[in-house]
Amino acid sequence: MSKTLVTLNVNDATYEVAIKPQDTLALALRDGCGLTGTKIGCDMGTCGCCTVLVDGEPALGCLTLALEVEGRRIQTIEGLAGAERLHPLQRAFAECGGSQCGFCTPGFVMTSVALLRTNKAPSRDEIKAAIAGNLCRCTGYAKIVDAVEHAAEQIRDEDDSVPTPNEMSEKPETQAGDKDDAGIHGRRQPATAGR
Amino acid sequence: MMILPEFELARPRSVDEAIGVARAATDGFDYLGGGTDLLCNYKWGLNTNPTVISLRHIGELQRMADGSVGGGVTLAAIEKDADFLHDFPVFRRTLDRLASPLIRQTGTLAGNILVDTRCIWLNQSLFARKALGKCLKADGPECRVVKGSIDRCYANYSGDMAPVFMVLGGTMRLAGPDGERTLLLRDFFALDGIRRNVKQKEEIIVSLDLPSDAKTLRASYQKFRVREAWDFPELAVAASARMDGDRIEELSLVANAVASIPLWMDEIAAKYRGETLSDATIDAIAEDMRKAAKPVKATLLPPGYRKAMVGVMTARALREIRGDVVTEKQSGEAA
Repeated sequence: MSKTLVTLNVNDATYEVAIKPQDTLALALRDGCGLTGTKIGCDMGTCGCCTVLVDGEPALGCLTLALEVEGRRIQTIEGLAGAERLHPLQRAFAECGGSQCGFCTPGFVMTSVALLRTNKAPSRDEIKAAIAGNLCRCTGYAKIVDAVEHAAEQIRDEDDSVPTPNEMSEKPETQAGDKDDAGIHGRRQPATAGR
Repeated sequence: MMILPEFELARPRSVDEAIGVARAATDGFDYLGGGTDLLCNYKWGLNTNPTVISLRHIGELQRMADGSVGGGVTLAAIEKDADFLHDFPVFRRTLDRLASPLIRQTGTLAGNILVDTRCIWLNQSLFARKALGKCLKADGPECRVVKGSIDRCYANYSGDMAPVFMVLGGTMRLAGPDGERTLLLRDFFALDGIRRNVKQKEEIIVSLDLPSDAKTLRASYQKFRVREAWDFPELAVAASARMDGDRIEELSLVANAVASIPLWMDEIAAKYRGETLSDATIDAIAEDMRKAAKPVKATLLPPGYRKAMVGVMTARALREIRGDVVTEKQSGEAA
């Protein structure tokens, strides 16, 4: 099948990526945009490792076709932190031991970002319900729930709203990856997703 | 990593355009709703087609108002519709127990109604299926669950929304090459794990519609699954009743996930209309439901256990309808 050159809006930057119709968003992000923070675990929608935000809502990157999200606003774990500081959720995961091997962490964090945008003071049960689609084989979940709870407290203390990537857009000049193949700010040379 | 097979992706903007693309796809096609079922099956190499027609860009399928839900409405959108849940509170519990929050973000109503039948022999990687021997539903000569069956597949129906719409008297609006038609959802399914329903291949589920008097029904959906989040039902029971005091005026029952379709148990329901919903009646209905359910070894749990649990879940559903406080125990404790 022929590839199509599509424009993906990821973390408020524009990426031109050559993709096949069957390429998933997770694959396009990793191989096309060089944003490898989004992990591919089960690749069947079970583990939630590939969770990203599409127009602010969590979406499974492994079960979303990249062509389907052309023109929509995609946010990945790379777009969460500012240049100088981590997102409160990232800080909380580090401080609370919510991350061990770290493979599932981007998915948990992105799911939690979506939760805290709509519920600034979730109960532990609400946190557990929200992350029910994310699997962790290391932590036993207690410290992940602690981290989300802690982040919610921090956010409430620091600011009355959850910072969005826009609000924290102290971005570096170039996107993650090899600077040599980055074009103008936020625009990469056409890359190839897939095999 | 699970690799998707090659296919062409069409993204029509209207139902008519989608049907046109489908008719032109002479080598085979599949409609794509949320993709949480179809893309998994494609990754397993199950019954793939060279053309995939996405229905996600068709506004007509996204409408939701007054008990009518478009086929393309996501399960999360239904979950967030306070008016709909107020009118039909049984969906709150149903959705809460349907897949995971992440799957519900993408999965659609029509996708859940049409979720492909599942089986322990079928939902495996190509490597595993080659080693185990292929089954009737995917390129094999006979059913592996009911050996010797060469004309009927016994894979398990695993959707959760259909049984609830059925007991509430829901209808389905289909659009196809010959125009639109409406049918009762209870008449939609066909007892075969491959055929599954009476939908023509090119037809699209435009909406599911609930009658206004469904708002006055009391309903319950009791689902048993191994893992709280994500899992498909090992069995489930949907029930609705219109009560006149403690007397059953109307009763509808569906045994779900114990066959290739949700089973409409009209004979049992008719037998108990007019009866008082006492403990004895509940036990009698539960026993009739248990006897009528004949699960086969297509899912993880043993058929005998699932059959017994149909009675347990029926009793829970009827007690909830009666107004008893029903606590769902953790899976594994339920028996």
